[in-house]
Parts: sequence; structure tokens; C-alpha cells
Amino acid sequence: MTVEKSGEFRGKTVEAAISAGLLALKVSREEVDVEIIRQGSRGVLGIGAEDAVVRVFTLRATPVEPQPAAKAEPKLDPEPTVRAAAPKAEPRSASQPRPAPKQNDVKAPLAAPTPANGDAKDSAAAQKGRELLLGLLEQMGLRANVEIIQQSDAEANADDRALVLNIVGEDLGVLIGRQNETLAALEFITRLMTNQQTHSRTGFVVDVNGYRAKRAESLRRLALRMAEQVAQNGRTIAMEPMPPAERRIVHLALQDHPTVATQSVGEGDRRKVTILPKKG
Amino acid sequence: MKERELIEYVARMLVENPDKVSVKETHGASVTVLELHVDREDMGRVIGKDGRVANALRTLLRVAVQDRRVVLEIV
Repeated sequence: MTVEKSGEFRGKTVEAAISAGLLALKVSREEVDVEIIRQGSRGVLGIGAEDAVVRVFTLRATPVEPQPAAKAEPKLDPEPTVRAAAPKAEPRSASQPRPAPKQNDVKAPLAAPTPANGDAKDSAAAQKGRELLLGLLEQMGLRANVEIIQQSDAEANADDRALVLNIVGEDLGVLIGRQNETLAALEFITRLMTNQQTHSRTGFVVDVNGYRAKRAESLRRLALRMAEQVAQNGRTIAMEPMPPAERRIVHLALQDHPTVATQSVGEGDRRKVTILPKKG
Repeated sequence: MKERELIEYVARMLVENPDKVSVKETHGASVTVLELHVDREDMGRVIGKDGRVANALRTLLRVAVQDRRVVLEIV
């Protein structure tokens, strides 16, 4: 696709942000694609409220070469066929009756996208997981679709990518929760249900509108910036305490760095990554 | 009630004996109590190590019911 006009827009809700974008670009909803950058949250009594941020771009349906890596926009997946569709948000006015749940059957389960480590077993488990997760979301009264994609560059090494069940839809901030609490519970339960139903042990990841992928990318950038500082002044820096999966992202980001090394220190909730100059 | 169905759905998918899963719902003045019953052999599967499964269920329940208080008991 040829991107003609694009921009980032803010609003109280995702819908509001999209509307602002449509107005600014003078286009209609059908002519654009929307990427949700931040869901936004209402905060508590207006404190800590965060605007929703979306990127709106107009497009023409002509195929284009994958962009080279040196692009401002974080390119989460180098394989365009894998990340089949960017999360498409369909703004809906709250007063209208909700349309038939067409989102749920839009996408036939994607075939295993991995040539490298595309274990048939992993793929089958992910399909089953998707099915169970869709059922779970329906029981929770949420309208969303689930796509199966691969982990992004920031999340895993090329030869070690897990499949991701990415929940796509609007207003799914509730599924992330405070400090990922809800997303973690959702992932935990979905994996357990899948293990029980397939009688195997499976390791897929559950994500909401690419939240984990985006978080991984910003963590990776932060790690690289801090590594730069360490390389310059030769002093060790400690990052904030983080859960294991996030520490792993930092280790991964700096594993091939020429002048710094990483090490986790501390116990339990206080465990954090330190970035130190390489000796010699 | 949808929260009852939510718990029933997940519990059935987690146990060896889905037929033995039932959820009893009691409405109090400000609280709804959900009592999850499973086969004795399946207790561990719905509670989990250190109650991890039960707590994850409670977390999902909170999202589903929004502002009402719901208590999940496993008996």
C-alpha cells in the first residue's frame, strides 16, 4: 500500500482520536487504516488519565516492498505476510445497536506462519488456544477477534519465536489491566485450558492490540539508550525492577552489544537488570 | 447470569470431569457469591499452585462484572 497522508492523533477515547484524524486529513473512514498506538485510560477521578493515541493513514491498495529497517515507525514484524492485518478499529457510535458479530469470523485461522521453527504441534496448539480464547472473550462480554502472529524482533531471537494470539478490537484496555495483571491472567488461563484440552504443554503468548510487542520495542530502545550512556562514561547503570519477561527483552536487546554486558541482580519483585561496561 | 457462565466455561475446560462442574450463584445486598463445585480430583486444577488459577479467574471475573462485587468460592 502507498501511504499518502498520515498522522498521529489524540483523543479521550480511541474513537475520538480516530475522528480527529479523519477530520484533520479530510478523509472518510473507508479510506484509511488505523493503528492504535495507545489505548488511553480514564485514570482515577481524572488523575492519571491518558489520551488515546492512534496513527491514521490513507492508503491505496498497491503492494509495496517491505520498508528498510531504518524507518522512524517501529516496524514490529519483518514478515508482512505474517502480521496479516493491522488492527483495524471500526468506530461505532455507542447509541447504535451493535452490528452482527462479524469480526469473530472475519479471519479464518492463519496457517502456521513459521518456516524456520514452525512446529506443527505449536501451530495446532495455537489454533486450539485461539478457539478457547475467543470463547473466553465472548463469555466476558467482549467483542474482539484473535489473530495468530509471530513474536516481534524485540521480543525474541529470530530462531526462537513463539506464536502470539493477538486480540484485536476496540476498547480492550480492560484486558491489559494494572501492570498487565489482566493480560497475565488471560494468558495463564488460556494456556492452561489449551494444555488441558490438547493434553500437551504449550507456550504461546497472548497479547492485546500488540501491547506486548510495543512495550517490548520501547524497552529495547530504552535499553539501547542506556547502553550508550554506559559505553560513554563507563559507569554501570541499573534499570527499574521488571518481571522476568521484560528483563529478558533487555538482555536480548544488548546481547550482541560490543561494549556493554547485562546482568540481573536482586531477588523476587526487586530483581532488575544492570548494564555494565564489558571488561577488556 | 453471564459471570456464572464465564466461570463454568473456564472450569469445564480446565478439568478432567467437566460433567461434575457446577456454579451456584447467591445474590446478597451488595455482593454476588459464586460457588464453584468440581470433582474432588479436579480441585487442584481450578485452584492451582498458591491459588494462581483461582486468582486469575477472579481477575477475569472483575473485568467481566465491572463495578459489582463478586466473590468466587471454590468448594
